[in-house]
Amino acid sequence: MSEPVLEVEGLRKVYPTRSGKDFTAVDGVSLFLGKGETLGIVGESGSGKTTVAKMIAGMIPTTEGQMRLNGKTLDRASRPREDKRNVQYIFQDPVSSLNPRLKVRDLIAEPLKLYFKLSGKDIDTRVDQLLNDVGLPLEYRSRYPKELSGGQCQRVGIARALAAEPSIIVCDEPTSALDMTIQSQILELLKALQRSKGVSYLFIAHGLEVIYSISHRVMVMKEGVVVEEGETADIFHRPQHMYTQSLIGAIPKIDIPQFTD
Amino acid sequence: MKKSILPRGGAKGIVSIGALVVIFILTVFAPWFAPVDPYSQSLQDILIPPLSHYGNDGGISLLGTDQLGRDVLSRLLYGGRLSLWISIIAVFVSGVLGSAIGIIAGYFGGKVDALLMRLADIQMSIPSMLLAIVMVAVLGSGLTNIVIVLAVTGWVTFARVVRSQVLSLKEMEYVEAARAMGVPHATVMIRHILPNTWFTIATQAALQMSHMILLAAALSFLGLGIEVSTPTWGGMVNDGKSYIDSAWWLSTLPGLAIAFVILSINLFGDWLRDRSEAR
Repeated sequence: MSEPVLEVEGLRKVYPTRSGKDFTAVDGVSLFLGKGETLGIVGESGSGKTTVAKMIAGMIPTTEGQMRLNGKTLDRASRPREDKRNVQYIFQDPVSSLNPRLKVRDLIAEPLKLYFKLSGKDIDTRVDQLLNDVGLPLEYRSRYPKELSGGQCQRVGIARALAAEPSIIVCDEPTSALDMTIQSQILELLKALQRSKGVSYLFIAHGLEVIYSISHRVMVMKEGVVVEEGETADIFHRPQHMYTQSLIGAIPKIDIPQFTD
Repeated sequence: MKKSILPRGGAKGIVSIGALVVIFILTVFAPWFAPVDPYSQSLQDILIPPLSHYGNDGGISLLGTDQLGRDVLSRLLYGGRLSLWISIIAVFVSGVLGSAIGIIAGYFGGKVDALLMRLADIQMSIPSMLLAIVMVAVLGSGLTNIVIVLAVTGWVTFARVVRSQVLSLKEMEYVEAARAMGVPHATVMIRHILPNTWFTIATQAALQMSHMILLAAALSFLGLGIEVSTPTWGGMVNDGKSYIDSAWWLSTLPGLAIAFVILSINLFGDWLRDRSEAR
């Protein structure tokens, strides 16, 4: 097993409600993520998987729990910029995660300016490299997000995350807003980038079919708790928990009709 | 992006922009269009009705003269320049102030929001006319003070409208993304939120503009505006009211000018709003 990039212990998130009864969205989630590894988190809507992702990305504060990034304990209240740089986020809706008033170049340049003190020329070179990495033509630099397709927008989102040179990229259902052919292209791109950059992914999805091809390990969540965790192959071949079995059963199978002439 | 500048959306845009351009050119270049000096008095030519001959040289006065023999058309053009200029500056100042407050209140929320919005509520509860009168009484009249007074009465509308839009923009994923990256608050507000409120601010500015013209005119009418001899539309309506029986044109013409400008601006604002909703 490779050295852990991220270790999470006893993560909890409690939302106070008006009725006075607190709602526990995430309860005691522990996980670890190795270097260059992908951990898939699966669960239905409301299972707390996105809450886990956002807590790890530092977008919402945790109620309880410890997180260690590259061996260093993360502060619960505020996170220094260097730690933020190390955990980047790819959103579910590629179009709304990009500011419609900024050109692709400026979108990708934002983390470059924020984290690395680069000169204008260096930024241009980096933007071109990143566009190249995610398979977008260089002339897209001066386009606006609305002039791009959903899949292309997601590539810009990936380039923006990569620009920070993070240890971890949290992918929050990055393909669920895209159609089937584009989905597999994006998954292939993510896998290729992992091989070349050694980045670790925390990959969130609501179904197992997406997770299967990309994850090394899978964690199944239900109602804020982890119900099952293991190597991807084990989960698929020997699911222990009822819920996991039903998720596998829910993967759509197609029967291609037999045509006889 | 270039296409969006063209007046799409039918006659409303073309008519209002056309009218505003004409008004703008006529008033900004008033010295070229005005037939005579707006200040020159001529006691032989007092209260000449529109389209009548002057007493001495037989030329035609297009819109008549006032009780001191000053040419109404010239005063209308010069007065328009001042009235429009005051309201443009006032809208600009209140727009900048109000938008900044609105963005800060909406973005930070919580106590900051509560404090700023209660301040706005307090001001909303005082009629703007009353507030303006009190402020002029305290500060004294004069060009700068009138602009300050108008700006102070106008910021609340901007702040409220902008704040409500920021509340929804704040939840957009690209704002969330910027915050997760650790982009400083000021940069998030200026780079990611402000550019997406331009349309709202522009629409609001157009609507406020007519309000400001009216308020400025009302202040001049009440004699709280700029010094009496300087032509302003509100002041002209006021000057003419004593002669309304014998010389209808003195009050009516500047009144019509105010109405026409406000109509054009409102039409323009309406068109802008339609466009912003269509996006």
